[in-house]
Amino acid sequence: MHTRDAMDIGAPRTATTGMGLSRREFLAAGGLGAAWALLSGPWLAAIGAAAREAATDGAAFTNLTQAQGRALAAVLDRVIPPVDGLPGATAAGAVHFADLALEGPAAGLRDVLLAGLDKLDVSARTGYPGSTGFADLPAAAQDMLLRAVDKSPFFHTASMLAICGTFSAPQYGGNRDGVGWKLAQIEQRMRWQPPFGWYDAQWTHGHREAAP
Amino acid sequence: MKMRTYSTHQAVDFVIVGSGPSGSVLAKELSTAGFDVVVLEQGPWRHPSDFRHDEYGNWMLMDMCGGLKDSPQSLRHDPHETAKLSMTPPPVIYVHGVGGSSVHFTANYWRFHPVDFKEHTRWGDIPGADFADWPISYEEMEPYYTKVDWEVGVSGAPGPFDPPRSKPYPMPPLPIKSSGVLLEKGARAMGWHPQPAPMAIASRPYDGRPACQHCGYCENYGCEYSAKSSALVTMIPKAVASGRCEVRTGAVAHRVEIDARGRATGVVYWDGQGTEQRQRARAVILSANGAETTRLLLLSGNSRFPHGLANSSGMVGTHLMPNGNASVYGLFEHPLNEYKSVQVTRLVHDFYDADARRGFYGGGGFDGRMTFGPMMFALVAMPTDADTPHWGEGFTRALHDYPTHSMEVECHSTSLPVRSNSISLDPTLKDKWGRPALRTTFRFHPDDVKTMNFLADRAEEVLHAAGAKKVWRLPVSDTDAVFVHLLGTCRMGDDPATSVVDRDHRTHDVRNLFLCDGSSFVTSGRGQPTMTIQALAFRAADRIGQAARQGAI
Repeated sequence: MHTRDAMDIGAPRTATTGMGLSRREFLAAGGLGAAWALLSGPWLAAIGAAAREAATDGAAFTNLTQAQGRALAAVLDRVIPPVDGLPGATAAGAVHFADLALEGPAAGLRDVLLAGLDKLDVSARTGYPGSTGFADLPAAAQDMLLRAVDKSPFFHTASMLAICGTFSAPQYGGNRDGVGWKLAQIEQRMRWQPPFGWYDAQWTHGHREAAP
Repeated sequence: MKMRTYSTHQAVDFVIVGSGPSGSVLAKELSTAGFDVVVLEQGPWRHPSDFRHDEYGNWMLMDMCGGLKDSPQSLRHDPHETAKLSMTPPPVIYVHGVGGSSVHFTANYWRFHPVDFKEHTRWGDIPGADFADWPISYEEMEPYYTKVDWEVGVSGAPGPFDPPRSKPYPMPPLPIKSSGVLLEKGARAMGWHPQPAPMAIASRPYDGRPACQHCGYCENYGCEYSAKSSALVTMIPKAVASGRCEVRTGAVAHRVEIDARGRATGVVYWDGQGTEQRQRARAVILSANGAETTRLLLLSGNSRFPHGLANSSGMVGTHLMPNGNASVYGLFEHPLNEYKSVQVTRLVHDFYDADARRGFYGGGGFDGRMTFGPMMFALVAMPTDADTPHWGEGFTRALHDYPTHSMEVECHSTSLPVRSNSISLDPTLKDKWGRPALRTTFRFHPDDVKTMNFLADRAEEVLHAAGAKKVWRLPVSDTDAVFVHLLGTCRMGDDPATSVVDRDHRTHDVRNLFLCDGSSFVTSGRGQPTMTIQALAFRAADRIGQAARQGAI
């Protein structure tokens, strides 16, 4: 079941937006939510400590080898690269989210992910003689290799991990120091007061709301 | 306060399956009227302190919606197909726990209009659908809608298309957001009539609960402040305070028991330890939602009821209606910051009624909002074009700009009652308890798809008129439904041959068995069914209580 769901990722979708996941697949859980959604409560409880440890640079991986971790981090960093001073997936520590998710909700995606990383390393060594693997290539070369696979189940899986690892709450291992929320210009607070945005601020100035 | 408890051997007046929007109202009304009530709830009793601002947990892991591994489901689009396991996500989505899906709902509380109850009379037969009138009218329902407004707690202000109301809203509308301002602006430019959205969220302190703090986590989240008027913080505490209601959690109902005379004697369930228990009762009420009420009836058949309990008509599980939906997005120059405050503050009902000139049946409304936080927005709603590639530097820039500068116009519409659209028992797939899994069979009626596209076209117009820099939409299709509105599967009617319950929610076949939840709907309305589900429950409680007092159950 895990494998089937993981392989479904690359199937044609009715939607043309976002990652190409249809509305039904998403309003609920997300296409990859597939294997994802087969979560286990104990996993959620167990990741807390691991996530805190992962929040430091150079932390070891739990489910990936060091080489796999470096390769995946490089891929995630090209999905959401730093640009114009904005943080990317690496600054968010998204790879640590991915590492932890592989023993929980993303367990069913493990094979697709690792096979894809292996292939990228092979392509890197073949296409760039002398290179040691994908992680060591310059960004432009990495992008070239990724463009060749960016419709594949592997790439969808990696994109999903990059996005979830950047924006999920830090307790899941990524979004270190809330940099994902900073990237999206979202501030986490327990309460707000109107006006909330530019347009309602203008409205409040120009109109009198009905007396409460 | 300490909750009253009952022995399973002692026959209570009513056992109610489900503590959601309808079960909680029935429990509160019947217990405060002096009846002894036990509510069986399969999920846990969560508290406001259990809720989190956690987009990943609530949307991706769906951690309030039951164990998907424990409760697998199957899906197919045509009745001749073999349904396939569908975990991506499961077709039917509802909260397992006290308060049911009202815990995570968006809290849009539209009343039905008079026409919603009598559309067959107005439009006649529609090929491919079993269109019918409700046996009750808006006039009969009005006092109960008002009861929901005041007892559950709804904020709002009357709009130009609203049905008559006997009493004003108890609370003023919530403060307008940028999506509301832009919807107002665009709709007025189009010559339409935007109005404040009625929301079951406290805009000021109400009935011992605080006012909304505008934290921004409503849709798909539990409210940490109890400002959202969910059953968990409104009806359930009042039922418990009556001293005549026990809400028993971790109780998975799997059979309604019937005696030799064909009367219900109670409900059989597994308790938290997995031990089979039997709650005896003088009458049984199922309020488990349109999917689970159906499954429970189909699992309760015996030699007297070979096709499932209360199913002599063959109608149990049929005519599933999820409502139509369409999502259209607009990007604007300045920040809207839709991540703050409640989802919806303005809506447009100019297209509520069907109109023969459109060439198809259907109608609905749309509202201004942003459903998603940045993670779900990136996964679902981000457009893919030259400005927003799905990865790379352009993607990072879009992740920076789009979430705070976009809004969504969400369209909500009719879905026709089609007999083959159904909830049934999967012939092979089993859940953790060994019960046949829920099987959903569904394809929208062609008119439903036309209605969704019609409304999405209007939504694009309104976003352009509001000054959007860019407008895009999610495509709709006849198979792309989300089953969170679980309507119509045990429809109400006067004729036992074509309906499951009568106008008082009593099953035609079993005198002391009542069904009251979305399953009773005859037609779908225009989305936002919870207001009507609760108004039906208040009305049902009156009728059932009266019958019980007269010895007529």
